[in-house]
Amino acid sequence: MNSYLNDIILNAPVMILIITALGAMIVEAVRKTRPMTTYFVSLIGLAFSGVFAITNSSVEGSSFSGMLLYGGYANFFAALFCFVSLFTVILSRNYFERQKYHRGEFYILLLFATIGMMLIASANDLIIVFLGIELMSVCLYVLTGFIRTKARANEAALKYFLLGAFATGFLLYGIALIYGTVGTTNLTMIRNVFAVVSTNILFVIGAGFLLIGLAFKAAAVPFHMWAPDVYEGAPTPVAAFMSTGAKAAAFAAFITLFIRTFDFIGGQVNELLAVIAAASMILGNLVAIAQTNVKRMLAYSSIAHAGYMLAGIATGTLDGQVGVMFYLAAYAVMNLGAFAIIGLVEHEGDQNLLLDDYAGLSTSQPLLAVLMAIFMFALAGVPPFAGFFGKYYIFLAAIRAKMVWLAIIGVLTSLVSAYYYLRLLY
Amino acid sequence: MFFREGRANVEIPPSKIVLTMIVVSALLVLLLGLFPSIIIQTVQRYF
Repeated sequence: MNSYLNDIILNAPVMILIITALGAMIVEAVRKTRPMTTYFVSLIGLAFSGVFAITNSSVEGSSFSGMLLYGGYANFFAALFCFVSLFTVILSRNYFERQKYHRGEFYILLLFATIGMMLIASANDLIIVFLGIELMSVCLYVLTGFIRTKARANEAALKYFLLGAFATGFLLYGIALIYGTVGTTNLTMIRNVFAVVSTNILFVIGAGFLLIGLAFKAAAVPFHMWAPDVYEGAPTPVAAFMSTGAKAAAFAAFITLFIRTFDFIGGQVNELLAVIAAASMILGNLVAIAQTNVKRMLAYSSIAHAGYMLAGIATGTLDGQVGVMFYLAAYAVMNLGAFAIIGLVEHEGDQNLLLDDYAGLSTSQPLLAVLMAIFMFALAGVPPFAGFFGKYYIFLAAIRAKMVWLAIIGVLTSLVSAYYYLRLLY
Repeated sequence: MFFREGRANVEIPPSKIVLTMIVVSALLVLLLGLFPSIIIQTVQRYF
């Protein structure tokens, strides 16, 4: 009993959010017509959870019979998810009030999705990875179609759900094959026997299936088809949340599995990762040029950014891992800011989302125009903004891992991206 | 597009808290760019 209580305390960030989400559900049931109460409960819970994650990051270890990790790496992601979620909650109130669709259950779903993300980042067992991904995904399917009166939102939600279910199948098959080969789902145990089982074809196929499942969640090529339609159809704060939080969660799983557990360095799996990364960078950036809708443009840009981050994962090194974690933090901040401004400029009924609708913003809203310019420069990777160093660390890791060709593709596609990001300005 | 002639407008002015969050994000983008070691050193400690 005492050890379980201790485990609960050690996992305070996720436990606080679970209590907050359950509390918010009760509040919502009692005060259904007052979504503001749920809004404030969510804000307080997320703030507390984030502060706990930052202040308790120095103590590291595993809990719940080795299934969950706490501190350090897990808390870094917990703090990031809390920031993303807090930002989304604040944006959502303004957005949904304008759309005349402010509902308390939105915040509850957002909290449960955040819990799922935290579970993914702190997982030390394939079952927890799967549970986290499912908890996050199911909430995101609902959030995408949250405005039920909008046909495009319903279509996006259904598309996301059907393709997501398909990806879940791959993920589960991968877990089953790995369990069949190793005899355990515990990641520490898998790491210990990796040298023995890594040549087993079933294990490699299982790892490949996991890669497909996670690549779908990260919206990497060729599993990216859902992203533009879903980002366009989903409410703008939800699109912001998906493109930052859900992507960060998918990459947390990538780091946990493909760097910290499996050691495929120089092997076929890492080569496959490098090819997916290159394809994502090329396709995402090239197709983004042709977009006239800002949300679709950012959707293709997010596919390209998934490619940059996958390049870091493909190196399989510590440098790559650190680079990806920096990139995720930088990308979350700059993309949330960009989506926040899109949400402000957007009018009721998905109006004002075209590039031409931004003409004259520097005269009517000079502050928003300057801020949007900062986010666009940062996304393009212009120094001295965070996006530049994100790319720098990842390309450096690729060069050190003797993947110079990947770094060259990254640099060239970054140049292409400058065209469509800066087109919003000039 | 910002600097071209046009009638881009915001239906309802953003609330103070939303504007604050956007400004904080922009500052973080700049801060992380100027001092990337804040995150890099923190992350390296975990491995």
